[in-house]
Amino acid sequence: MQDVLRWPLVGRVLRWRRLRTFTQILLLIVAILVVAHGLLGPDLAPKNLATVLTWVHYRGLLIGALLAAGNAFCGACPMILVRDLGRRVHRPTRHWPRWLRRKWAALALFIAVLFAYELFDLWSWPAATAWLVIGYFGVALLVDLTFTGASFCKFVCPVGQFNFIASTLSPLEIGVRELAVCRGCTTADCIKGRSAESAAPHPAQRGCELSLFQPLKAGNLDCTFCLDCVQACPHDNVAIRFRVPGDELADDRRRSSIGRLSQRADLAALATVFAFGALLNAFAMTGPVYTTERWLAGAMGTSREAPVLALVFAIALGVLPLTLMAGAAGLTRQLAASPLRVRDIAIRYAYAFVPFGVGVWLAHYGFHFLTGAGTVVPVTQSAAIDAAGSALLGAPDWRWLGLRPGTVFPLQLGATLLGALGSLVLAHRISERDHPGAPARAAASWSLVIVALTVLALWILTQPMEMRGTGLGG
Amino acid sequence: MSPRVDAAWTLSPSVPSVGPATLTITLRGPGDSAVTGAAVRLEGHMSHAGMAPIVADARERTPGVYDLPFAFTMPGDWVLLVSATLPGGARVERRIDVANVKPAG
Repeated sequence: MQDVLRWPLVGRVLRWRRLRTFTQILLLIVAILVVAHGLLGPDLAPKNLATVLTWVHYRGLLIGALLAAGNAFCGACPMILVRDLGRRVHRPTRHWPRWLRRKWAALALFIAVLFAYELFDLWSWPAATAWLVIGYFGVALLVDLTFTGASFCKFVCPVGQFNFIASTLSPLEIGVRELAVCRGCTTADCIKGRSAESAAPHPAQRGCELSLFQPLKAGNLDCTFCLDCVQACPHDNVAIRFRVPGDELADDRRRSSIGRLSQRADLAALATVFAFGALLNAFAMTGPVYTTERWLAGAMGTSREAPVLALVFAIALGVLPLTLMAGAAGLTRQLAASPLRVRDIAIRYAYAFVPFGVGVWLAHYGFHFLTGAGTVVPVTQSAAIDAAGSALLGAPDWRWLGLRPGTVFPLQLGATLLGALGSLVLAHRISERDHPGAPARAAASWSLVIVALTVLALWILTQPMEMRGTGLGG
Repeated sequence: MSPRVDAAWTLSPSVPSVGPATLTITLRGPGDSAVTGAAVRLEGHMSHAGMAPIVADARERTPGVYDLPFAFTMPGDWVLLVSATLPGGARVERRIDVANVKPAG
């Protein structure tokens, strides 16, 4: 097993006890810049750090890091740094309510953020972007100063849920080095942590706040890559290892704090919304979306965007996936003579959409990042002029951009097709697991759905982009 | 905006679409006199960050009338920022919101 923690230089950096705090401080500084410039800087999105850093750089780097390594941005989340500081003043005592210990609330918030992004054109509104960031910090503080552990990360944070789902495609995973060592462990520091009194000769260290018990942990779901477990294990038995990206989505073993994927309707729904949300979010940046919205507005007899957009969301994230999945699951039940209920089949196969979703998110966010990465230079120069009154960092040259869109297009196609291929492989893997007698027949309908979604994604990518901040776009 | 100089503008075509366009800026000083010899520059941005901007310099067609030929590169909402540096060094700036630039064709 290749353990990154044992690599000469990288391993030392990753084991550095202050690494998380260091990266959190870096991102906290960025967040402060985003908020300050968003509220006080120019209201033109391309000239404001809030909109440039949030919607061009953060999203692109986040999906890039997830696919190149792991859930690094959750590990470096500055909201948890602020929360930790807050907990020095006020220590929470309540446990997150048992009836809320699923992803339904987070799923609703995830959809709400996607909806707000489109309705309020957050990408064109620096002040609103700044308030969104402030809102995230506020809710994180409110939740985690009320409830113990990482309740916000696990049950609330929409970005976290996005990262958890996408990180199933990461090449790295945190896991135990040798299970035999865990069997002989009597302290379970990886989950319980160590108090200052009981720690000697080791320093005090918290365990996994997301309740992932290392010996029973499988995959990246709910793992924030905080490395608390690495620091906590007194036996140095936690590794960061390479694995086959996406493999865990066909793994139905019982996982610590998660259980079996096949019994988690909420996670299946999250995976589905993740994939169909990728299509919707990309579609919303093209010209045809405005034609569609105007037609719907006419049919509904309204000129307000909110009800029209709500209908688009209901169709794209509700009616369409439910119809396709019910149909595919029904066919699987018939063709493979499955004893499972249609609902249970749909839950099991929902995870197959994740690689496709990751491919589309990468195509979308990667496009903005690769074509606009250089824009941060003149925007920062301009911000310095706003702040200092003189060109401390030089005069901004607004022609700083990135790659040409035509250059990025083949990469977008590659990402989408690779994701679709991964989904097809996963659908077949799930069929082999659940319907070993007829895997090809069981996977046929799902393969058809994935191919249809891929054709739709490719059509969206070929549409002319159209950036508007004017409602229905009259 | 300098209180002594009025900057009026027209955009051609008036219903803009992706492709060539011309922004004409007319600078008038006190007594409606033409402001000549200004360095007029256009910077155009889309409403979304990270998109290719427009940068163009003007030529003075007639005294006080400056043409800025450029091309809209994408459909959608644009913000055109015009800055004119007058012969005396004073600066006049104007923001022009151009909503709903149509696709080409």
